[in-house]
Order: sequence, then C-alpha cells, then structure tokens
Amino acid sequence: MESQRYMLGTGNLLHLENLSTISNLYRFALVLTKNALQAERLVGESVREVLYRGSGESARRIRWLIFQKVRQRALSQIANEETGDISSNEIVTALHALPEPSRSAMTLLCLESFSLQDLESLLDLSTQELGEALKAARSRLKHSLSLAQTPS
Amino acid sequence: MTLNQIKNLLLACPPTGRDGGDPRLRKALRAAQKSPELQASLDTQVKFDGHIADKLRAIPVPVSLTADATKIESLLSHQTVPSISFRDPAIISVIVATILLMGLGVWLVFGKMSSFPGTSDTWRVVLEGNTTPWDRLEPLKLKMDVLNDWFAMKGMDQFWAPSAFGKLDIIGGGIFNVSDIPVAMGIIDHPRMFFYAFNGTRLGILPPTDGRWKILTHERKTIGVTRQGDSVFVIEIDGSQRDLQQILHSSLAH
Repeated sequence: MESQRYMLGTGNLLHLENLSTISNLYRFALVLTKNALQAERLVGESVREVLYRGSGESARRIRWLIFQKVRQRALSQIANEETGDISSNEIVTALHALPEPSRSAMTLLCLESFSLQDLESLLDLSTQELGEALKAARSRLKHSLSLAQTPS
Repeated sequence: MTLNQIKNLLLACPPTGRDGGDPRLRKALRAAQKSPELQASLDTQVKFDGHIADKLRAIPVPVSLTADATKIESLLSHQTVPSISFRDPAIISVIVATILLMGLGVWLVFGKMSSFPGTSDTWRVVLEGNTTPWDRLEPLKLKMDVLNDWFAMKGMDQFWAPSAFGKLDIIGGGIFNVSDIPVAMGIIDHPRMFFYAFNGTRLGILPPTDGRWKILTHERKTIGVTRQGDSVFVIEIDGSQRDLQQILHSSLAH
C-alpha cells in the first residue's frame, strides 16, 4: 500500500514536471524564434530526436539535451532563414531582441528549468560570463520594457 | 570567495531568490545576507526577474505539445534513480572497487576482443549515423525480417541482419552513404538500439565471420559487430559492454 501510494505520487509529480518542461521548452523556443508555429515544430522535433537517441541517459541529462537541441536548432534557423514575425507578445519581443547569449541566459533563468551548473554548461559560459550576460540582459530589458509601457 | 565572484553568482540567482541546490550560490546568498548593499541589489533583481518570469509563464502552450510531455514522462519514469550520497563511505568503496574492476576488465579484455580490420571505419559509420538528421529517417512499423524488401525499395540491395533479430520491431529506417557506399540504418524499438548494415568488404570493415559478435566501446556508446560474407551488421546502444552482452544473450535468445 505504502509503495503503491509512493509510485502514484512519483508518477503524478513526473507528469506535472514534464508538462512544465514542455511548456518551458515551448516558451524558450518562442523567445528564440519569435514565431509560434516554428517554436511548436522545434519543440516537437527536438523532443522526438532526443527521445530516440537518449536511451540510457539520466532524466536530468535528457532535459538538458532537449533544451540544448531546441537552442541549437533555433539559432541555426535564425541564422539561415527569414523567420515570420508572428508573436506580438511584449515579453517575447523584448527577450527576442536581446543578443545571444543574454537572450537564452535570461529566458532560461526566468523559466527556472536548470541549476546554475547546468545553465553554465548548456550555454557554454563561465560563471563570470553568465553573470555578465544576465547583467546586460536586465539592463536592456529595463529600457525596452519601460519604453513599451510609455503611453504614446 | 571574492566580492566579484559573489556579485557574479548573485547575478545568476533565479527569480525565487533561492540557491537551487548549488553550493556556490548558497555561499553567495549567505554573503548577501550580511551586506545590506548586496541584499538590496539582489532584492531588486529578484523582483524584476520575477516580473519577467510571471509574464513568460503566462504564455499559453499549444495543446498538441502535451503529447510530447507524455512521451517524456514515459522515458523519464524509467530513468529516475534514487538519490545517492557520494559522501557515504560505503558508496565511495563501491565506486572505487567498481573503477578498479572496470580497469582490470578493460586491461584483460581489450587486447583480445577489440580490434579487427576496419575497426576505426566501423566507428566512422556509427558516428556518421549519429549525425544523420532525424527527418532523414522514415517512421516504420515493421519486423526486421521484412526489412530486406523495404531497403530494396529504397534502392539498397543485399540488406542482411542476423536471423536472431528477425522478430524485432523496427520503428524507423533510412539510408546514408559513407565513402559512397550505402549504409542501411534503423531503430529497433525494444530493446532500444540503432542498427547499421552495409557491404563490409567495400568499406574495408572485416570482422571475423565465425558468427560471434565483436563488442567495442567508445565513451558512452557500445557497438556489436558481426559479419556474414560481405555483409556487416552493427548494433549500437548507449550503455556498457555488459549491457550489450546482456541484450545479445537474453533478449535475442528468445
């Protein structure tokens, strides 16, 4: 009985955690691409690729791999394609306007998907570089968000 | 820890204002508690980031993606392991003993088992397969023993797989080239593995034809290689030699 309750609880937690992982993946992809359709496709493709290749990896590593795959694909698409400017969400627009790695760093920090160590390795930044990227992001966001709130 | 290091760590503090289990951030947060200036700056930062986080979390997520959440769930539920304290002397002893045994095993076994003509080219085939874009593999729902026809339709004749693999379910397949030689690649559903089949003679990959498997490991990947005539068949798993030997002896024996 005890173990049944435990398993049920663990399953529910995992389910909630993974819904949150997918939601945060989508929001991260949306910030990177600023295109809802492209973000949805990126998440779907990256999840499928990592699931097929990720057998034997730990849960933490799988989560890390999926986010890394979304970022790699999004950045290569931004470099190679004209992305449709679909999302008009204020926060997506402000974050998307940041340069890399500030954009990814600030978005991932706010989505709280990773520990500090995982964030550094995902973005391939030292603690100092991550701090600088986040400082620059906040400074630009304060400016752009206050501009967005200024009545015309 | 210097003041600059503390400031840098605090810049990476999440909007919750908590350390998230990171010992460096924990120290930095303790230092901030002792400095009104640092604490005030951190409070402002956390408040600002919290505002961004709230807005990000308010972005609706397409319903279609919840199907992917279910897939992640099924995978992670098989991967979740109980937490282990690496400070526990018993655990340390087990780790040290395991490393020593593995080293001894590698030293004893490698010289005898690992090489044959074309070993490095075999890894080249596998690494090439690993970088094949996902969209170049077609989803399949076939048994291995009918793949010969499927690959023939795709333009690759003489696909061969060991008969023990005949009843395994294949969920994806495709063809890529290595030095202009076609390589058939596929995904076995259970136990989850990749396989590669190609003309070994043309690629200079010549494991023995005695029906046994040559098992090789590189970083986290382990492959098994076998040959019949010109045809070479490789299976790839993310795991150890022992994992692969277990798969070959148990799963495929049925």
